[in-house]
Amino acid sequence: MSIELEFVQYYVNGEDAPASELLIARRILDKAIASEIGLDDRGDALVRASRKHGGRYSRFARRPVGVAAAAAACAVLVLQVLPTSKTATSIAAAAQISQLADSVRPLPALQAGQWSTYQMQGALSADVSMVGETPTPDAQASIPIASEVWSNSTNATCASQQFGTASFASPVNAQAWHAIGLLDTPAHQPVTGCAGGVEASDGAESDLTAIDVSHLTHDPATLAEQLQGGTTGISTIDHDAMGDPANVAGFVRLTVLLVGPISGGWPGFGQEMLRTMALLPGVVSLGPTTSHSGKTGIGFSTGQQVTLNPQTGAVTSKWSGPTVVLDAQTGALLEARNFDIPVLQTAAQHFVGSLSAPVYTEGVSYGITTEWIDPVAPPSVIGQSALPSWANTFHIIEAVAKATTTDPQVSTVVNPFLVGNGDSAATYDNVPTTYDITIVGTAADGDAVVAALTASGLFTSVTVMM
Amino acid sequence: MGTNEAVERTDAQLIEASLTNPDAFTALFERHAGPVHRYIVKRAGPRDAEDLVGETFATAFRSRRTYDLSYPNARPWLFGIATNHARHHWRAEGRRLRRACAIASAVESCGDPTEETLSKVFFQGQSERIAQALGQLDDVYLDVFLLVVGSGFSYEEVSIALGIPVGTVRSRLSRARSRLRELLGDPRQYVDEESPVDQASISTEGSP
Repeated sequence: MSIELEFVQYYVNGEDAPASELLIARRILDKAIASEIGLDDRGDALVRASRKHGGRYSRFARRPVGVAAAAAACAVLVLQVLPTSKTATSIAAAAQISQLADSVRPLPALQAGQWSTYQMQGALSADVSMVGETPTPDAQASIPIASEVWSNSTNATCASQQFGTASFASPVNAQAWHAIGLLDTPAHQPVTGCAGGVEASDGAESDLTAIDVSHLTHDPATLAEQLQGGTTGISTIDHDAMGDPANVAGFVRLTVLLVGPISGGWPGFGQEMLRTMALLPGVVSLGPTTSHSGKTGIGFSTGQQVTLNPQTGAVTSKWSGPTVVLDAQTGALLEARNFDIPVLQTAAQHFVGSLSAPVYTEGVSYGITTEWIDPVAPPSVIGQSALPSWANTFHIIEAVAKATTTDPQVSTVVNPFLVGNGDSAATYDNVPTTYDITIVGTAADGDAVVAALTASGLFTSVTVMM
Repeated sequence: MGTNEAVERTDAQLIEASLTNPDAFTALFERHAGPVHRYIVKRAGPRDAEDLVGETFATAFRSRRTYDLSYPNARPWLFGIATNHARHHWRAEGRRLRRACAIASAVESCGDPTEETLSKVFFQGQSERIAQALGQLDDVYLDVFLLVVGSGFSYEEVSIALGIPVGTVRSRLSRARSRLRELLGDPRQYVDEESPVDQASISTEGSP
């Protein structure tokens, strides 16, 4: 054998991970199978089994760290366990939620040239548990966040997102954070940008996009089932809270939809979300609850767990499930706590010091939980002229390819426009392939792309989305 | 279905069985997930490897009706899907960084972060010299090389996995080997470091 082949064999040499340890991968397959045969709780059974046998499920599980901690603590002494998936939502809580649903104001309908704008503020808890193969249990920080999102009637979205300086519970946490190449203060803030089409509907790949809900069912009973089973068809929603009990996962997914940002919403969206919440099992009313912004509403949660030390009776851990606080008069969301927002899972990348940092080169296992997030104000409608100036430098064009068009042909036409000032994404899995091209520049730059795409003859349609 | 029974069936038989009994597909996972995981870790890094393995098998499951049942071994098919997911992974990484760079316009290290550039950064960021050398290869050569040398595929299997003619497999492999020989230079410099190559193998085989 020649020397270069031997080197490469050495590089890739190593024992295969047993399939039985690839629990996250197996769960993704199981969900695909379950989706086809109409089951929705097999994944939970799998995860329960993995916890029982001490599997490494937490690796890259995008879910609240506290859930895992609470699950482990259950083996010690759980003093109090409030509702599970086997527990129906109390009649009182369901009635409260239904009553609030009646009060929810309809979302504003958008006309051409109009944008819906929405502001939020809050705090994230970031926990890097492992870099490469090295555990980093102390690498934990709290990160403030403020964001504003604009979306139009074509589901193009623009966002401005500002991560603040990380704060640490102790110097040990700060030291561990810095040791793996993470910064205290993220670079280049705020991050701003616009997306449309494929990217806008695939929030998992970006923290600057809205969740496209335009294909969501309008039937609360169906939606409640889909949210619990992770079968809504919105990948960012369905992949969220994987590994949590179905009722908790359903509540978390619903919370993500309530918090948004969303695109493709309809006037009755808010009402239908609360009617769906009333149908989810295991939801309890927490009574009057005050948000971090100082507004008092009614809290709803999937429960709490308190674990005691069997010897001393001291509280060793306390886990509060995902919680929402709703305005008692309008049903509007005042605050959401203790849940994952998929589009914020990429927050960690803003704290990477350089591309040679261990967290980038070796890979990490991490969890980012939203400690709390408050809408600053209800969504409002503005005109194109009220958009921030940077948003007007974005030009998003959607081009539907002919059946005979190939990816390299499209690249030849599009790539010259993308160098340094653009981006493209495509729905490769669909036929016909749809390309969404984003150009940052002047209106003339956008027009030039439209002209080139049209002249190429490769597309059946070329549409300007913004 | 018992495990032993599954072991005795070919991949094609399991896929065929899964058309009426979807659970039969999980035996395919048990059989191939480990090697697919190892390949993806080396091709795209450990960070998202399990997600990519899961997506590979989910994609395979959803498209199993298109599988040609005359091929008893589904390994090339699965690795082909895995390769596509690995490429998509870098494409997504590229989109993230391009957006950040274009908007922030101050991240010098970003340059032009195409998916291939990021793939190279991934390899070059690793401590192993061979990985850094692999990072110098274009992705089309790298895919062929890793499948043949790393995963022990035949040219015919790579042809099926990547959907390219066998002749193209040969030529890409040849180019990859030539380039690696240039990059690695005298192999004796690596002896007693991270390489498994000992003096004997060098003196008897050397570099062709």
